[in-house]
Amino acid sequence: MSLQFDFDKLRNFAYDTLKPNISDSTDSRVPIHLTSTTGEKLLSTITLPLENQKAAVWLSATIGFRVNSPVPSQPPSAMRFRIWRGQPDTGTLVYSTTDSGQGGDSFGSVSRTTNLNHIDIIKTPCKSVTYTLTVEAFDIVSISIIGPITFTAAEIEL
Amino acid sequence: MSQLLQCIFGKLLDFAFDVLRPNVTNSDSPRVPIRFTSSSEEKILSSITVDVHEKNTAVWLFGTIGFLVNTVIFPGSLTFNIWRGKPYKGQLIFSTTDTAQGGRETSIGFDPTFRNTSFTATDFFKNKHCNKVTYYLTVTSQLTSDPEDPIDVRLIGPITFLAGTIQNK
Repeated sequence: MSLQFDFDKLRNFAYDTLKPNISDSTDSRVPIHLTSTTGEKLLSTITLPLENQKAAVWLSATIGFRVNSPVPSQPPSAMRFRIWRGQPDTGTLVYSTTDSGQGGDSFGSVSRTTNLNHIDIIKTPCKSVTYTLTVEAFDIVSISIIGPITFTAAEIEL
Repeated sequence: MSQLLQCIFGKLLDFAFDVLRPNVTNSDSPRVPIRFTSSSEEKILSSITVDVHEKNTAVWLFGTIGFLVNTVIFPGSLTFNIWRGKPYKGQLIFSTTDTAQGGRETSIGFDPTFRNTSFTATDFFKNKHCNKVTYYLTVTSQLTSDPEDPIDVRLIGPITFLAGTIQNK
């Protein structure tokens, strides 16, 4: 015989941020300068403890970047953000999105903010799961990741 | 046979939110539109208060703001800040900048560029805290214009500001 009280479904929470978590942060992790040849760069890694064998993991991230185009009439600068369950390449790609910025130079800097949200369903009996947030630029002159960087994961019981 | 008594309290301890009514683009809430000039001071968009009683409490914060920029050449940038406590008296825990640029001349003026900025932030209390904590969402502008290219930046909604407190082990 069992008597059980469930008060909510948020079971675990993990996060990583810059310190301070602001534009042009003085954290040594930024700035990250990106060009078309820098490849995939790691932004953040978090490990979330799991209480349930089946759970939804709510992933959220915010990244601030600056476009460094010599002239604003140049094509937009684009980059792809990815979330891997595990490590890049060896893990499983669970989410990606692409964002762009355009302009800059004497007309004023162009700073942008990208926000990501995703749900990853976990069905394996693991005690924890690690997620890696990365960025890769393409077709660009120059972009700098300047902060903030926020990466959060919440285990939601299904 | 022994009885099993299981209590799972979860970890979301408190939740607070503030939104425009209606929380839509070009909301008719009296809180918007907010117009910006090159000399605009920091403006408070929203404030929310949560209870933080336990040690090792994380605060999960979300914001979404809609604005428009109408300019031909110069970009218009807005910086969004989250303060724990009142601006400049409390602690700045998050800041991010978003930019919009462009506009198109029509027979009745310019069509603006619309921008939606969303962000996630966290705060953390390592020690026991016996007071309510108020978070302020504010905005500052970075605008450049000249007589040939007057800039028009307006915050028009939506404005969403959420906070949840979570007890971490």
